[in-house]
Amino acid sequence: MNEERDGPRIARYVAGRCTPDEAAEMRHWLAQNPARAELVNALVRVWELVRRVSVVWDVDGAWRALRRRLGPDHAFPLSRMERGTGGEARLRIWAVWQVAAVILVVCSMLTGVLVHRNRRSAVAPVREIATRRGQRATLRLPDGTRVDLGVASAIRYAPGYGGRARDVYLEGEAYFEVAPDPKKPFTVYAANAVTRDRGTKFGVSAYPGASQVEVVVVEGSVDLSGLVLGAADLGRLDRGGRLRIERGVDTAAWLGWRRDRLVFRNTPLRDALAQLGRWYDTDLQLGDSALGDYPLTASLHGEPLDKVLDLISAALNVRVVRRNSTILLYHRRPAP
Amino acid sequence: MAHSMPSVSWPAPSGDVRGQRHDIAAFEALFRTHYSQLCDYVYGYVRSRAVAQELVQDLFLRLWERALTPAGTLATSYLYTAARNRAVGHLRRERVAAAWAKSPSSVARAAPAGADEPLREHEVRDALERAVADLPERCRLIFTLSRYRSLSNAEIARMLCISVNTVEQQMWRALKTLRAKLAPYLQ
Repeated sequence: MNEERDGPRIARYVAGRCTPDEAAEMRHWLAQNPARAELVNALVRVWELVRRVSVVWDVDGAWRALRRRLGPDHAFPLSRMERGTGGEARLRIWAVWQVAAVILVVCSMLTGVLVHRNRRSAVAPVREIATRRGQRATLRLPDGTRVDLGVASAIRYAPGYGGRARDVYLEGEAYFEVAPDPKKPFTVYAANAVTRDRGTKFGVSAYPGASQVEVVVVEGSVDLSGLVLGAADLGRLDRGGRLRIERGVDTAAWLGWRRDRLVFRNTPLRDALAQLGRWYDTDLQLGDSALGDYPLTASLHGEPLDKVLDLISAALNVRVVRRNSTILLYHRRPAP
Repeated sequence: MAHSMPSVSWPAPSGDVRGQRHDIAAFEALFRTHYSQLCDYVYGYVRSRAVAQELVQDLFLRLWERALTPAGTLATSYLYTAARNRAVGHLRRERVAAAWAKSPSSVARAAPAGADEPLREHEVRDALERAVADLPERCRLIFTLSRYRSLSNAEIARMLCISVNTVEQQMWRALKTLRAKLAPYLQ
């Protein structure tokens, strides 16, 4: 292997920065040599692992704090998006559990435009819209595509969105109603999954740390890693790139989060706890790692967290322990 | 304990850093564009979220007081240089404070008892953070912009005034180094 030549393209491939053609060529190249494939596989694991220490900085909170220190005599609008600058995503965000609290903007880097006004050279920022734990958002992309963003999720798109293609990058959970435009393909990149729209409504779930990416199609069809999913199809792509398709699923249940419902269907407790943590903005952890594979089936609709924990502890025979702000689940053992 | 800082050269400022005086909108835009990236960068030195946030906020406060709103690549060179100076300054002050403190910190190191699973998770996180923090400075910056902030290679190249190929070479170097460091955690 020639590092000068191959290093950069391996790095591009690992970081998901290459075109589909280049990726296909790369996979072919890797298939020819097991040692190469193993190296790249390890690098992909490193890449995924490091994501776990990525910090979500509270840009809004920091700006508010700084704003207070700048002095009171500079009136400024709460949000750039309230003024509806043309071409930007319009966005509505609300707290799932405090419906009254309407929060207009979470961390966003939408505002590079203003820097560009008196720029000397451009550093085009990536647009990012993110929700915190316990929050969801609805937004419209510049082309009119509707996006419902789930809790603790982020969607990014480059400033060139809608130019020749429509590419978005998702971390977390989202539902898309894509504005039809056959000339400009709409593509969702999420973890190792590439979902290409074929004129549809569909949902993608790809939380960091989850064992798989899930794509569920409500209407029309999408292309997921080369296979076509139709209405009521659920595709699950695991970390190793294996795709399983389940036909005729109840899409309303899979997308229940859009209607304030949290539905688990034989979900491993590990994943269910992570999702509950995001909904209730709480730190939930397994006290016994062996509990992680317990399958949980439940349909929740606005119950308080305590009630949910009662339900889980009864259903799975586990014990709930609160330690500071963390909630731990243990096997229920008979008293000694 | 001597601690030499690696020197990094930023593109030379090609103009006046003085922006429009007290233009709050431009200032907010500058803040929002760079805040997370600067926090990542400073965190790599100080390894404390609270301190990183404080130092970055303080940096912007000083900018505002001096009526500076640099734009474009100028912003990058200015902000990152200032951020590094603050991070290094903080570490120096901390070392002085530690030298004055008599008692060794071993007392505070008693391992917490109980659930070992969250602890192992913590250990992995710590190893990951340390491995990233130990990358050579420029390599670390490029890697974190790509991994944590999802900037494209072209965007990073533009921002740092380097070629896309240099970005990719550095990414390759970062990945290789991390793989070697993190080998025990890869199974």
